[in-house]
Amino acid sequence: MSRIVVRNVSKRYETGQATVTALDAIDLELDGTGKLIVVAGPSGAGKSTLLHILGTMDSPTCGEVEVNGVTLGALSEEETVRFRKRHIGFVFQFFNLIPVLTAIENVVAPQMFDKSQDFDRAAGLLRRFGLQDRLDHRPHQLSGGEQQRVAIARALINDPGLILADEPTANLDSRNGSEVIRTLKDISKENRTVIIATHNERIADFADVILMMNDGRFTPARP
Amino acid sequence: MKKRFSVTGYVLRNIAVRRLRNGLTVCRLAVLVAFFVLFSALSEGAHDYMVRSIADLPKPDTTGLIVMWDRESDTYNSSDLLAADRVLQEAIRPSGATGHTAGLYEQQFAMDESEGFMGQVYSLVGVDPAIPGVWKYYASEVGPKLSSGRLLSGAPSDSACVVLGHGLKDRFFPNASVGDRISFVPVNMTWDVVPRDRDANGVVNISRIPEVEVHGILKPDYGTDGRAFFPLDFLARQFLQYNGTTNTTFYQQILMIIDDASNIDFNGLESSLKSEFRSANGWDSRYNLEWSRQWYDDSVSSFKDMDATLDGWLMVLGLVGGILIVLGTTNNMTMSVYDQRREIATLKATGIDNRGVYRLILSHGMLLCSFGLVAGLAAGWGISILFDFGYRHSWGGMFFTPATVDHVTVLLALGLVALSGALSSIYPAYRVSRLRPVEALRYE
Repeated sequence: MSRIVVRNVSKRYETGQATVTALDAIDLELDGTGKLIVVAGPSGAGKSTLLHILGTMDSPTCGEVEVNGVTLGALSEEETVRFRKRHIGFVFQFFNLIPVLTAIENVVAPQMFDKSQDFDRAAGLLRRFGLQDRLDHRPHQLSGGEQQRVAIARALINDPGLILADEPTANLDSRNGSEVIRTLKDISKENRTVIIATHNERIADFADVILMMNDGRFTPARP
Repeated sequence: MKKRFSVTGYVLRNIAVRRLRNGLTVCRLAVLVAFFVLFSALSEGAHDYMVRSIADLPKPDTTGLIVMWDRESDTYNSSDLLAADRVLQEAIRPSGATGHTAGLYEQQFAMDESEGFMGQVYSLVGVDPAIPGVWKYYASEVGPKLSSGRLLSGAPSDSACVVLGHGLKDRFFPNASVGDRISFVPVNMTWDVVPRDRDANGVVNISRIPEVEVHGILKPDYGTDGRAFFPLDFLARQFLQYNGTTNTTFYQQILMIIDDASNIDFNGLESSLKSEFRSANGWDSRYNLEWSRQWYDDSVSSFKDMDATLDGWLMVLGLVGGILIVLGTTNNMTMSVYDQRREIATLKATGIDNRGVYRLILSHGMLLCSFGLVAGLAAGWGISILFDFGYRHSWGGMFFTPATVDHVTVLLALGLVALSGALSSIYPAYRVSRLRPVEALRYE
């Protein structure tokens, strides 16, 4: 389960003499367990920033974020890394696979320094996503859709409750994009919360919850 | 499926991807390590050579020697010999050393007037078997050099005879052989020892020495080449150093030899002799132990200084090599880390902590250094063997010198490279550990 609470969170960047407000005092409270949540909005709306803050990769300028009752701002650096590893999985727009590793090695990469790596689970995940013949292929030997499915498998290797996907279909054709979204939808049904940041409003068709953003604020969802 | 993720394999693959840059870094490391190993081997070879040389140095000589000559009254007689021996024996008795006193009669001459003593000096030496010290010297030093014939026996029949040194024979009596009678008359020599031997023109005619029979001829030898050995009484008579009325032989020099002077008061002995023989103007007292020990110590000290200098240079080379390795590898590592920052950011985003990032960078640096170490050791070792082989087979004059690669050199190279590898990884690892994944990922 993933209960997410965002209280009065702002994020501002200093760029030279100008200050860019990516998030502007937003509030959010939802229980996303088993749901696919789509954060939609135009470029620069603050979607990615919100995902980064929820995923502990960035910290807000002010405000507080809780995930499953854990206040993220109160965690030390080491605790933050452990929390991220245990509870959060990321899927990136450009897949971010490591070119020198095979598909299955990419999936277990988050466990590379653990005492044991769950290659069985990695292989199972890849099989589930139709990549049973691609286990030992390098990223450059895979199509975009296959690479993104490997990235999804990597996000699931530690069995996290929260999957954050930042523009996961932006680099894919519509067929592969739809396939990836369906995969993410399936994942959400396994008692996980999947949050997708996208400017592709067609993805909204798959969403259980739609959060519209513009200029760093939530806006009412269109009917 | 049972499999283990190999961090080393991952790093190796990353190294292979940037093979040119990493290869050049490895080459640079290898060259530095090879130089270090070669210099260390040469230094060690020089050290071994020095150790052998020190072992071969003559050990400090304990022989003591005192020679008195040029007495105002011209010569010493038998009473002087006895007096000198008494002083000697008293001085050495407490130490248990043995010593001999001997009277020497030796005429020296040059080849001709023009050369004087600047040319080859020849000596006519009087040997008296009744004087133990002289006879011992004669028997032990001259005896083994006999080439043909026999030595002087000291028997009364040995009156007009001679044993010829090889050089003297070659110069003046090239056709003489054992049993021949030779005369010194035709030889134009200039005597220059006893002033009263000179005539009005300052030349002493060799015709004083009548025909003598050649008893023996010596082998070529630096110490005896220019000498002719006669029975003492015979020689002394020819040069008026024998008083027939008192049956006394006069000696030019008194010689004292102490077998082991290390435990006697040598300065005290000298003082006693100078007090006894106040009129002796010529002194040659050598306590060999002191100067030979000094010489030995100086030689050892020189060798050790040279060794320390080489070690110092080795240290400087190691330090400079280490700095170059650190700078070069840091440069490469920094560039590699910059190239991989998106990968590292991704790994951090998926839960790899800073310790893991440090391990990755350190593994990268250590692997590069290991390759450089292995290649450098092999090259340095090979060149060292070549140097040693060249030295042993006398190739190229002074170019090839002894070289020894020992385990200390290997350990030093290993330590140098390990330390350099670790140091060169610290800064890039620190930089990348400070990297916030969100920034690296936003860059895309």
